[in-house]
Amino acid sequence: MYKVREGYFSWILHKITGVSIVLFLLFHIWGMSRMSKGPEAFDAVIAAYKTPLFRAGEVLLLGAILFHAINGVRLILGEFTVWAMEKNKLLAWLAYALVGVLFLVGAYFMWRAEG
Amino acid sequence: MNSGGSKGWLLQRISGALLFLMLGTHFYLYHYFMGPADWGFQSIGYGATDLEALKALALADPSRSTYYALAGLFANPVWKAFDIILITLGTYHGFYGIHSIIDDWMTHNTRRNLSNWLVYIIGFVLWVIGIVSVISFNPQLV
Repeated sequence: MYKVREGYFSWILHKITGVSIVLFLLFHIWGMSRMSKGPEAFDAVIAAYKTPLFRAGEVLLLGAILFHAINGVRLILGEFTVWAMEKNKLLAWLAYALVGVLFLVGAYFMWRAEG
Repeated sequence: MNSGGSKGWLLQRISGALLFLMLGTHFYLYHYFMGPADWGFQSIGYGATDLEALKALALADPSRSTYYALAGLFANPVWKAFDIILITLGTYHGFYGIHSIIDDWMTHNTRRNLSNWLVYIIGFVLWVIGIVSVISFNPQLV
């Protein structure tokens, strides 16, 4: 069914980040429904989002989304083109490098931005 | 095992690719564009007739500038539609993904079917809440 080789790490991390993002989506849409109920409710949610706990969560979310998105592109390329299928291992490492760099840069700017 | 699976498989790839493109815009809008005192709304096809009123309100009460920024964004139906499409693709992609994991890991038929239905219902309810939130966001310009 699945190739349990070097792609296993990516495969399992794709599931873990995917489930994490769905949990965030539940939370995010719940927040949205509260925010749509007038300026006071809106401000209360925004104030909560600016606390260190939520900001740390946002940085984790950035990492999960970057991995899921970039690894997802790699998966799609591998499924639809022979070239990417043959270069799968190289592309996996390229994806890790890209995720790592974008995460470090993104996390730096997110954390530095005004709370 | 799963009839119509290839169609779902393809839709998962398509929604994933669209989310890849749309999430970049989403982050830019909500983290950067709507950031402190950025009022360049005209540049993205701002549709409100009361832009000046919004600006005046935001200047009078800077602590509420994010609220007025979103009010400004959502005054343009294109951005409401963008968010509705984003919610639709996001809930579809996310809950189809959970469904795939359930199909792969749960071997007991009854339990798997029950879990899948539970996931579909949660996903659908979440989708409705999201859509209603966007549509019902009508800024109170007091």
